[in-house]
Amino acid sequence: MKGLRALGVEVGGLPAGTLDAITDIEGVQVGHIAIGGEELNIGLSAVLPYSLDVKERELSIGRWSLDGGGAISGLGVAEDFGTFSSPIVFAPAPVFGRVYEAMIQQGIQRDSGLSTGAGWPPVVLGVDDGAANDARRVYESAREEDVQRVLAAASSGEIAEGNVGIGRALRAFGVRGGVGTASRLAGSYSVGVFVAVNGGLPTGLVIDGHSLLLETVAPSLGPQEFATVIATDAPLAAFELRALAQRGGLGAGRCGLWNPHTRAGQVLAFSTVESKESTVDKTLKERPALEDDELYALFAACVEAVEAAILSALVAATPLRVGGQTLGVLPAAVLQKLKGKK
Amino acid sequence: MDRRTFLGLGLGAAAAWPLRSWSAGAQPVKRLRLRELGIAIGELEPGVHNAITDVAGVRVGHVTLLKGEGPLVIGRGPVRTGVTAIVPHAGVLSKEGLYAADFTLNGNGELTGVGHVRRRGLLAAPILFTNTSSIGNVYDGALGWMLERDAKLFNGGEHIEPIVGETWGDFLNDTAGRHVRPEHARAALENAQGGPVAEGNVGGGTAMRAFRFKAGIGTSSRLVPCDETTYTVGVIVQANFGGRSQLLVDGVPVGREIPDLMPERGQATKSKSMLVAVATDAPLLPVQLQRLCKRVGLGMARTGAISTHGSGDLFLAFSTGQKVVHGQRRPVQTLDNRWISRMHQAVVESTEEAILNSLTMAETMVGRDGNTYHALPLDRLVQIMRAHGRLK
Repeated sequence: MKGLRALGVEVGGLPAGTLDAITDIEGVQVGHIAIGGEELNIGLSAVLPYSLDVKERELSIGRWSLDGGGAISGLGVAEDFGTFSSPIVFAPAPVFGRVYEAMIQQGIQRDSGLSTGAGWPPVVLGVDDGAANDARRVYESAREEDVQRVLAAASSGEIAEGNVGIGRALRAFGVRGGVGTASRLAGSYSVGVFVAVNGGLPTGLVIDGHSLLLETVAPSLGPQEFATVIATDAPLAAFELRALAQRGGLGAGRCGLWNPHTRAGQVLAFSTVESKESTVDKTLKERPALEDDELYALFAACVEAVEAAILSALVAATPLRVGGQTLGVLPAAVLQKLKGKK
Repeated sequence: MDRRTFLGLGLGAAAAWPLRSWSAGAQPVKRLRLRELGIAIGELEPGVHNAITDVAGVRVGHVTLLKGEGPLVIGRGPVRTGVTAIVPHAGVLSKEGLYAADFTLNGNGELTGVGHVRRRGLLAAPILFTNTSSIGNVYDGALGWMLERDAKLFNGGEHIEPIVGETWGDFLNDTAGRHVRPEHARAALENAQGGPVAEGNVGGGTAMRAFRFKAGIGTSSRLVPCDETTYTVGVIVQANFGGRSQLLVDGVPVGREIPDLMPERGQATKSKSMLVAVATDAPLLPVQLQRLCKRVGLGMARTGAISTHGSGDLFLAFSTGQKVVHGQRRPVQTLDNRWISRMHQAVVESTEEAILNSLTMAETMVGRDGNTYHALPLDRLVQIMRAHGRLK
């Protein structure tokens, strides 16, 4: 059971999916691995829109960023064509190039032609941990096998949160950040969210409208950045997914993950619904129509799911000893405000 | 509203035109479209009218305001302006939207209503081109026209606006006098029709110039074979940009070879702009339509444009391939991207040709204070193209 539910805490008023996770969206898988040995607190996380053995499946994607976002690849195709066909890998920013290289290898293995329908270009999100680790050592840490491992580790069903994968290095709101996930139902469709929670000030955490002041003296951190992936089984086109990604940004803003110290934020939103070739005219592809009201319901679900995923990451995080100091976690007491409110 | 040229005049007839009887700089009686001079841009075939109206259902209407001559008296004239309306289909636009997107190549201009286009990916209003000081009145007239057709325009929460763009025509026109009234916009919308489109000194293009020759409205179209289906791409431009030495016609540096016939009298303004609407009946989604919009810039570049700092180069593309009707759950169609490059080619070619049509169709115009933009002399254009081996 997810940490939030075990604590009796609910965020927002919309129903969550079965797992309250991005993996509630059929076909979506998530994997985490630690890399760099025990001394470095780093890792990789992967969100797979569909299994690795699926070939030639191009899905629609939209992107929004705060201040340009952090490092991201696949952006040209994602923004101009509105499509992608790659796993999405969250990596510590210094190993971005190595991860990209390994993803190309993986793409070539899947289809040597590397078409936009088959793994080209790789989508890598580089997350800067704000000097929580020595960048030069992080730079040396990743190997090609690590990328293969994180892709192989991906699975559907319940997924680990907190300080796993990319979440190992992250800090947020003066405590330990991490990765979190949540989902919300919107009519006959669902929205699932996966967030790398990185940023925020101790005084700035707001969940579900409740200000959760943390009595923490935050270690001095550099400017930070967060990254979010949103998945939906609604048949959204690229321009609608761009709007959904913007709502993901609003969810992060509502929690205080945006603040004057947040350098950048990256939000990707994709739909698992593939356009099919028209039976009438083979120059055309088709997908089901969506009503405006359904789109707006998805927007609301997205904002709430991002909020819930951020809190879920903080709740799942564990304390970290670094250099004789301990980076704490969100005190359970502050969650009282969110309990039994229904 | 009729074309001021012989529609029936074919390429052969154009080639036989008695060019030598025109003295340099004298005005030919007839203005011709580029193709009627025997100059064809690109590889794809144009539609029947070689106009944006070749995209079925698209209609164009102009209201042209020409009044007075002599010194400028603000509020009295001389008046050299108008409004051009592009109506995407005959239905109620606010109830049957079309997928659309816009692109700003250079932002020093105005194109109202693009907020809704960007937010919903839909065009649900007519597009109107006018001069810079008339945006408000044209907007007002167009909104009235829209409200007549859909009294609940503001009830749906969508805030649909008319798309109104402008270019600066102060050299010839009493800009400050704001002579375009809301009823002119309404009349342009009511006048809108399919078939041949008047070009040159008409509608919003009345006072405009390109490459320091008289220009204005131009249009062109291309047929795009995609497997067994043939789609149409149509473009309409309001051209108001370019330095003389930059002008290229089908790659030939025509502007450098006609250094005379420069604007006369007053200080010609440096403000430059370009408004373009692209229509297609291919079912494209907003992301694809934005790619088409970007190719408008490439078509401009082929005429020599560099998109200056002072330019408002604003483009909008829409697809009539499917109507988006609230409550109707029809599948959403997309042209497979295997065919998108041909659509790009069609946009580039028809933009280039539309700009050149605006030049070859515009007549010399004398405006306020006797200010004059000369027409591109067609006899010399043909001679230059011949000298470069591009015409027989």
